[in-house]
Amino acid sequence: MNGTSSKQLLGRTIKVIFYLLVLVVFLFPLYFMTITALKTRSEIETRTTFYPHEINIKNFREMTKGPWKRAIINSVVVCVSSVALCLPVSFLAAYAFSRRPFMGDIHIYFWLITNRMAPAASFVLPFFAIYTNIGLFDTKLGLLFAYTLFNLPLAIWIWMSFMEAVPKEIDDAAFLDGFSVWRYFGRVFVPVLKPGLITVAVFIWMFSWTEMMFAVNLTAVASKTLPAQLTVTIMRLGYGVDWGMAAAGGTISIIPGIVLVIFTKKYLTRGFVPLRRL
Amino acid sequence: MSDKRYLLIFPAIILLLFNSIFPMVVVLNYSFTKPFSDNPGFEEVNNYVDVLHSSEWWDAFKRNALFTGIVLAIEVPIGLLFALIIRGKGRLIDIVSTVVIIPSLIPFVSVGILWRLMTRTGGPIPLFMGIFGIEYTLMTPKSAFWTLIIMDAWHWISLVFLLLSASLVTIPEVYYTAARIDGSTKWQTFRYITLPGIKLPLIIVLLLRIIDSFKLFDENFILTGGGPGRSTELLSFFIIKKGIREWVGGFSAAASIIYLVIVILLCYLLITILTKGKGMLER
Repeated sequence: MNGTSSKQLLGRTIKVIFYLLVLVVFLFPLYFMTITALKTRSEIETRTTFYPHEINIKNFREMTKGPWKRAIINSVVVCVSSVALCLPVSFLAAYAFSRRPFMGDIHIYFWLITNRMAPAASFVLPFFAIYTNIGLFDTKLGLLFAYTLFNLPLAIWIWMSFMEAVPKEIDDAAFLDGFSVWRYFGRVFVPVLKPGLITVAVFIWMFSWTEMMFAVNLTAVASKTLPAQLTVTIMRLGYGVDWGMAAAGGTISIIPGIVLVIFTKKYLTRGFVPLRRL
Repeated sequence: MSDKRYLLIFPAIILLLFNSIFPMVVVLNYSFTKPFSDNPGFEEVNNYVDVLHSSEWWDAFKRNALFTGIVLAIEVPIGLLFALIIRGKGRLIDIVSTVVIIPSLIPFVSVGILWRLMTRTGGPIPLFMGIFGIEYTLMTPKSAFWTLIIMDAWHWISLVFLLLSASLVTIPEVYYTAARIDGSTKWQTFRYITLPGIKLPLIIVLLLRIIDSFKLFDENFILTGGGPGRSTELLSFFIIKKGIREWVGGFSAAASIIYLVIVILLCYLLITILTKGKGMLER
């Protein structure tokens, strides 16, 4: 008896050590970036310290004005409008694919999904050319449209995985009761799919929030998003990079992710579970 | 009713026609001409021939394939291991699993910045390696390439973990109880209960990681800028460099068409093999 309990104790100790190791590996870089943002420039440049010897909030204050403020606002605007646009559009499409087989649906579905696979690099050049011609270059509307390229396929894909888990008998029952399609959506289908709704919204938000290639190449000044502004900051050769500023911007950019994970984790971890189709 | 079905997918189709087909037509058009020059002309397939004869292109391609292979070999087993270990109830487990998921929601640029900070001369990683007497710098091709791999693993183990641990929960507990009663070994339990239970999510994870590591651009761009020399130049980076910086649009367009075809073929092949020919919609 004594032997097993000491063995259990050993097992538990190893597990706890493993957890702590994982925490260090995943949290330390985040911690290091945050404290770098709080250091003075001379401290960053001269030596590596693991906590700020002199707290300096100038970098964060800089985030609330000028180009940084604009970039943060742009990012939020583009992300919110992406969710507002893609959520209903992808919902309707996924509903059609999931519930209403029609001619050629397999081909259309594959084409839709290939847009998720297509490397964005292939699209930068034509987007650039088209946007400069029709006046969408350096506009938030342009970014919103460009982002649908990868947001829509992914959203449809995730919606499908959730819809497949809803028994089709529910539809039949609702329609037998004389529900119209819209009433069925509002009263039955969408409420059942609430975890799906949240997951799709989170994924659209995150992929728009993190996107950089289009943001860098399709904007100039007015519509730079936070990732684009960060890129500009650390690509400034010659002056030497202002690491404090880059770290402050980086720290701001990870906040929505952390907040979202904490509040929606129980939905996210159900995200792809019922997926039975690719 | 029958016509309404098309109405439902209509908005999605319109948006993607504008954002996918239209740019594709433009890029196809570029790939047969010399765009941005005074006399674009018609180049026939010269641009494609140039790409296929370019050693830079093949280097980037081979490097990208190697990168994808290594990254998959690291991320999938570790992510699966994490998903197997970090589960159950308890506050510590809750905290650990939340922390492991966080990296996948961080902008790629910020991941790049984070790792630039970590690997700066005199930064934490060089200091840490120094303890073991290893001199670490981003300035050699080998260490730059491996740093890119480690960074990608740090970033994306989270996604593998998220998707796999979500699906592990769905395996009924009775299966494990039955296995315990029958006295099966841990390996047998894993091989015959766990693995079949997470087969589909595993396929999805593999697909997503292959696609995304073939598309990798941002971190590559921020961390190493393709250097030193061309030692960390991956396909996306190569195409952007040719198109936007060196301004050889025709060449870049042709390269991106070839790239697109390769990625789509790869996915099609994988989907067919992994679903045993049933395809995208199982009907």
